[in-house]
Amino acid sequence: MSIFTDHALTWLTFIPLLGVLINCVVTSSFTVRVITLVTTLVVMVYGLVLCVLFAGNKAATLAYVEHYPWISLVNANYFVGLDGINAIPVVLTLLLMPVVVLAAWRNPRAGRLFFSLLLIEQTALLGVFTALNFYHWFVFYELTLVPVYFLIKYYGGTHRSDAAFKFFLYTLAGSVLLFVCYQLLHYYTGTLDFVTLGGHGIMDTIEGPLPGQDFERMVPSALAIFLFWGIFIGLAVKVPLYPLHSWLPDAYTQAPPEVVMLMTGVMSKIGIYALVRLLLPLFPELNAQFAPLVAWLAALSIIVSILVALQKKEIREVFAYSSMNHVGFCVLAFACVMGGAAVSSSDKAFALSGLFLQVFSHGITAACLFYFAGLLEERGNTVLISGFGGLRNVAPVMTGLFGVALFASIGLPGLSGFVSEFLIIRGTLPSYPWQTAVSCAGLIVTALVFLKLMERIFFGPVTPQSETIHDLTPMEKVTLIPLIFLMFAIGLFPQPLVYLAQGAIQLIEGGVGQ
Amino acid sequence: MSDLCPRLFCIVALAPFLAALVSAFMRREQKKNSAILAIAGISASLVFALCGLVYVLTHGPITVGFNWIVPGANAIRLSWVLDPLSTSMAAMVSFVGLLIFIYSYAYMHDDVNVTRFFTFLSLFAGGMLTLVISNSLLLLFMAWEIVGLASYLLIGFWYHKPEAVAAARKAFITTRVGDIFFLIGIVWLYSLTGTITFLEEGRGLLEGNRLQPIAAAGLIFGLPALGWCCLLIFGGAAGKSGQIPLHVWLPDAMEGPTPVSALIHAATMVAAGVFLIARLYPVFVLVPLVLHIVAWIGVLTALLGAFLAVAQNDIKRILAYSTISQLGLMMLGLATGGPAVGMFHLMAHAFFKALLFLGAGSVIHGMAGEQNIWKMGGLRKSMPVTCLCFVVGYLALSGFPFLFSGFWSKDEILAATFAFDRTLFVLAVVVSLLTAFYMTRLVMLVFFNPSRAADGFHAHESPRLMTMPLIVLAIFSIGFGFIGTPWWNGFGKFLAGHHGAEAEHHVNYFVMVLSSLIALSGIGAGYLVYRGRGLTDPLETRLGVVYRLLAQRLYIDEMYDAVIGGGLRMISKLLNAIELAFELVLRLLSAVVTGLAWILEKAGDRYLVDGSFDRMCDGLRITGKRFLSVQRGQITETIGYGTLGVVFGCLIVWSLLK
Amino acid sequence: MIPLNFYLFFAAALFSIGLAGVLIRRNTIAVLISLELMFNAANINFIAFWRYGLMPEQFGGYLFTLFSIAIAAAEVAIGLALAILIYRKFRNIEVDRLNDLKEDIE
Repeated sequence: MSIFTDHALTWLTFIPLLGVLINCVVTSSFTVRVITLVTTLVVMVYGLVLCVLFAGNKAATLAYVEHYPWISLVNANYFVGLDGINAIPVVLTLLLMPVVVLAAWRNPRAGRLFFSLLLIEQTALLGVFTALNFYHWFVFYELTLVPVYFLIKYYGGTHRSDAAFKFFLYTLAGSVLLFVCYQLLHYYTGTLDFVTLGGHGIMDTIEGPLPGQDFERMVPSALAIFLFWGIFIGLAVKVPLYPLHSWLPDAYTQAPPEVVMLMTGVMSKIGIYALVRLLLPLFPELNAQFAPLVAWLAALSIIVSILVALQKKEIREVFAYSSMNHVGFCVLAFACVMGGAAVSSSDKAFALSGLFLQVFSHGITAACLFYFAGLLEERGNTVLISGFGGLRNVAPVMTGLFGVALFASIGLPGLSGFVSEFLIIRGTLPSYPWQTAVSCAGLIVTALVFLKLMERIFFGPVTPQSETIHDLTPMEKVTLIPLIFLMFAIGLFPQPLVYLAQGAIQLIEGGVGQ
Repeated sequence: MSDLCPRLFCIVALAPFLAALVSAFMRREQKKNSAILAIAGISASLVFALCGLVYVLTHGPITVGFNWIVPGANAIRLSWVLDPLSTSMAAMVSFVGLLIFIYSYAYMHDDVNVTRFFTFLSLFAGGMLTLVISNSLLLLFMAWEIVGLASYLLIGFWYHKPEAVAAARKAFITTRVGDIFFLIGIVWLYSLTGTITFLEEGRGLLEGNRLQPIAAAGLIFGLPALGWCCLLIFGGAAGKSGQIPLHVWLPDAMEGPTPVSALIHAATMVAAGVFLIARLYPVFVLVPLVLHIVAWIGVLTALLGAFLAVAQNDIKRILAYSTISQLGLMMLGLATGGPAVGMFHLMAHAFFKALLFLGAGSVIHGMAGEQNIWKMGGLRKSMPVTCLCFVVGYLALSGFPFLFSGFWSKDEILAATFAFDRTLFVLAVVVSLLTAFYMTRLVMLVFFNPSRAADGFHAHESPRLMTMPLIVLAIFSIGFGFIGTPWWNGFGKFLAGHHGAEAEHHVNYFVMVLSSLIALSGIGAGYLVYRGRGLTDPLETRLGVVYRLLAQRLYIDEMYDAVIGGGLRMISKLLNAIELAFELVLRLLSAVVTGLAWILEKAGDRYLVDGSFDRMCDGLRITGKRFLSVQRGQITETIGYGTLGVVFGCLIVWSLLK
Repeated sequence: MIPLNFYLFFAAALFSIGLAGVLIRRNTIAVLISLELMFNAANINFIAFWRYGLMPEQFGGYLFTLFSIAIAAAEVAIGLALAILIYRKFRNIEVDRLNDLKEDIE
């Protein structure tokens, strides 16, 4: 038993690879699916138990730490841990993977390779979120790109090769920049452990207690600005933030729907998570200096993405841009948390809790939306919004649940989207009123975009493509029920998630990154 | 026991939600069950609301709440309050709701989707009741949005009608604009004051002089920050309550079934804005300029609504514009006279407007779907009960002196406005005149003038389930007024509750007489103009262009669509073009990189690197061949050379050894 | 006694004649014969040095020569066999013509 708790996170990260090994020797496609599902469920249960224990232990400090020297020449260590910042992304990954597997169940083209790639992706994602040393983190960061590249290339839509290539290369460019910046940082600070860099080094489990070191002083100021923007831009590609988003529409429209669920649900959160984990603790003065600009970038991304979505004619394109809109809110909250002395600590607490809730909520709702988009495309044989109509008549249950997901994205109270948006706005309005006002205007346009979509697809006369659409099968209902349930649950009872993140919130309130 | 009642008060809001949840899973065929469930739900609300009312009469206001989200050191609480305002609103909403639910069952009887209808109705009722009992701006906002959702679902209920769907969207988006202002206002207020609860053991927004110190702080363009918060919140109220410029959704909302119009767009949801301002009145009072703005917007809305109502021909549209007008009056009364005045008119209006709408529904039902008043007539004889009740509502709305509640409520508004600002008073008087006028027009054309329906068509009276609520509402339309007369203002006293004395109230006989005269002259004018008319509107010929403008609703909707809709479309297209530009940039970049790579490969790699290596290898080969030509395969030669070599070698060794 | 040099000169002359024969003669048999001459020259050298050397009573000298004669005989046998095989294949045993080992210059 102690093996499982001593190296808990390592087990958690690598169990999916066991599933891959088993898949290699299995031939029946049904068995492959069962193995994958069982693996993801096992990982989910294990991970949730870990998180519950973590939460039970006041959820404040770093837990399940493992620190082993790896390449001591460059200070690369194998360093994992669970704390307030990565608890929620980890939970999101754990919960979303079984759903993705269920979603891919009926996909006729999905065979051993597909599901094995999904499992490898899960390992990569869990690794990214639990890693606390840059090299370690970076390995997994790059690793997350690989299975998705192949998934898009082999199982995607008509322009899949282009989309896969663009996705891979664009995000790779960002990570190259990130890598370069971190190399420079390492040169000046001599360490790559995020925790140490954050000045809240964990206590005695590593080489003695670490006082909050002032890394900012170690780096010459001109270089610090370059590093700050380099890291920010490198991560902004991943989020994505407005000007650097061109890989997103193609990737989201060409990838198979199940993969998009994963991409939008979890992978887009890597960027946000990395901003909080990597960038926030590094340069407190620069944080405060550039926070308003970052807030404007976020507001720009929010409003432009949803305005673009207004004109889009394909269902998935609309959802892709609205997904960008929602993560923009996370960046807005991040800007607030960056704010320095200008922003009160309670505002930061609100913004940070809103950020994590939005990460979770958007993961669920966006995954749900893309799932529906995939169902519609597959049944109606068209990707255009105008191809559908009168869905309410042919498939009322699907319409109802799809409507729930759409309203959750709009931000209706009672569903998860509202709580996070409220907290973010509460946090950012006092210090960045105009940016927040622009973002709120984005909320109105979001409602407009989704209502128009709903009208076109649900109401009106039944189009020829829609006639053949049958309502949800039991398997699909099983796939959707967890997502819909979570939307309501987090909308009505968000406190458990907020509690999970409270370690991070307390750190921010206590002045980390100041 | 006295501790239990406040805690159980939340059932007022929860019961309809529960009913909605259960009926959401019911199948289409279970019409009767879903109706019974909905009615049971709202009856439970009514019972508990009345209990709450009694409780408040005997005890003071009390709040019950719990922590909802605790990010770090802060805590966001959700709580509900039992005080005069919340309990009286809850009682009114659930009572009117109950009557309308009963009416709906008969009205929607033939529709296929009755189950869904009652689910949405219950959802609405739950949301509305949560709104009125909430003690926190956040909970209020959340309920506000739920109510907006229910309104969307109900307006678009007949989803196969594209007009209904478009109207639903318009309603949602327009109110959403208001909601965003509201949200920003709430958040700003929260950050200014540190709390969003109304009453919270002394720390609430409405308590004592808590906000007094900051009332004049943070001037931006001459208005204190608190004033801007109030204006933003009023923006939200304007959206929901159809004040200009966000009134455009209300008339279109008439596409929904008539009970929906009655419940949501007459009695309750649209009143939510007024309720909100009444609730926050102690905050608004601190910034008098805001109250002025509210009053002016209210009176302008009232005027616009009244003018446009004169030229409409659809019975429901007339009532819709009338609602807009009355909501404006409510806002006016609220701003000039305080919550007692505004809320009194709100409640009275709820009763008689619901009555009017339900009566209109009865008329439409009896006329087999006809809604144009020019095609009706003579219904006095064929639908007597409906006619009687409708006339009661009409007289109440017009402010017929003394007997009807509308008179008393409007009198209060006029008296308060008279004391506030004379210009506003004059405008309000004009509104009252027009109200009486257009309502008389309506009643004459529908009930009294000779029938213009198709030959052989006989309208019949509606079933008992529909007429009973009408009668009840009619009784209230008359009786409710008497609890708010200037001589004995029971309602005002109740609202003022245990906090302080109400304002000194001297009876303004001038206003009372004037308003009576106005009402009577409006009715008289309407009678004279429309007596016996059947085919054309005399106003149309007399007023010409003006009439056409009014009939086309001053083209406001068209302007909005062109400016805002068109503007959005243009921006969106522009941004999409920029997206394409990004694509082009990416392709250009990749083309440049590919070109560079091609050059490097051809010139650099292939020519220089590979080429030089190849040439070296060629040289080696040629040299080798030359050396190769020495060997001719002759063994003898080989031996010969070998021997020579040995000899030389030995010579060298020998010389070395020497 | 006859001086050692006489025997050495004689052996050298014989060796040279044999070498010249190997290098010049075209017939394979003649080459083989010349090769024999070279062998015999070496044998004479062995015997001369044995006779005039340090330890005349040892068997080493003439034993070595006996071995050499035997091996020369064996080698000639193989050579003759090869010559016969070559003749059978190429119909020609002129050394000049047997140049299959030559690299063809393209």
